[in-house]
Amino acid sequence: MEAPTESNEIIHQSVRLKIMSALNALVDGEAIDFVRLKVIAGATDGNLGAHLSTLENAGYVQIDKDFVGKKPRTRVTMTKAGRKAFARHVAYLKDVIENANLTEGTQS
Amino acid sequence: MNLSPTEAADALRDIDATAARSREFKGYRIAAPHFFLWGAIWILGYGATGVSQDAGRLWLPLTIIGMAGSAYIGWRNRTTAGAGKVYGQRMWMTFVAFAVFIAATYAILPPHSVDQMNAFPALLTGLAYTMAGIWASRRYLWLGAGVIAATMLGFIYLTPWFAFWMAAVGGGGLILTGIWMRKA
Repeated sequence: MEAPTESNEIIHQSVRLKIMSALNALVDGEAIDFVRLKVIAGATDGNLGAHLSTLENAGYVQIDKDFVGKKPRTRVTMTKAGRKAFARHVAYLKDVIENANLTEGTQS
Repeated sequence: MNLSPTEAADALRDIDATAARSREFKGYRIAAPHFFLWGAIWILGYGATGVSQDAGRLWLPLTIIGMAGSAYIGWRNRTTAGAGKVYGQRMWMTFVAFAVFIAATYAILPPHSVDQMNAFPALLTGLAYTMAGIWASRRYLWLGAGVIAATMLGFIYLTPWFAFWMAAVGGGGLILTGIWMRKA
């Protein structure tokens, strides 16, 4: 995969990066509960909700709401587009470090 | 926007740490049903031994039920084709390794009482959890330390009620651990 030349700003924001990392660690199509995601990302309810909306609008995550008994439940799944975008962002980050190492090697 | 190498390295570290946490939490949730199953088996096995020492022979069928149940839970949680089979094989191999080790230890250091026979597998289980806690997931460290401490406490100070103690504290503790893991 060819690394992009710019950072993906939707993904790179600290909380969103954590959300995407947590989801990417799961298998394709596997959902995670909002409450668990909140603990993993170290975010508050409102903060996590806002960042999830941003990721949902970008098509990177899918949010499903249902009820377990009388309790509402929100589950988040990474979409294929999200997984691809995340992989590209990671490739970009690695590329930045690799290029810096190459430059350093040339200079020394 | 372009990032500096330091920012990129920080982000990659963050990604690795969060992914590890996500996998750890998932591991706890997957492990929860095993704790419910083995908690119930400890309650039945130790409880029966407390009522009658002859009931010690119940441990063999209970252990086989536990092994089959754990293999089934693993199969049900499989995420990719073939993963369930590999998990099942590893589960059986783990139990066989435990059984052989316990039998070998009893052959070299024969226990002098039923309580000794009952305490050793529990201590070994505690050790396995402690190792898992040191090398992989922190919650197992607390569980392992708890199982070893509860076993020693019961063995030394509560000898007449040791089997019942292990049923209540050991088995009950495993079930509570299952609840704790499920909430992760």
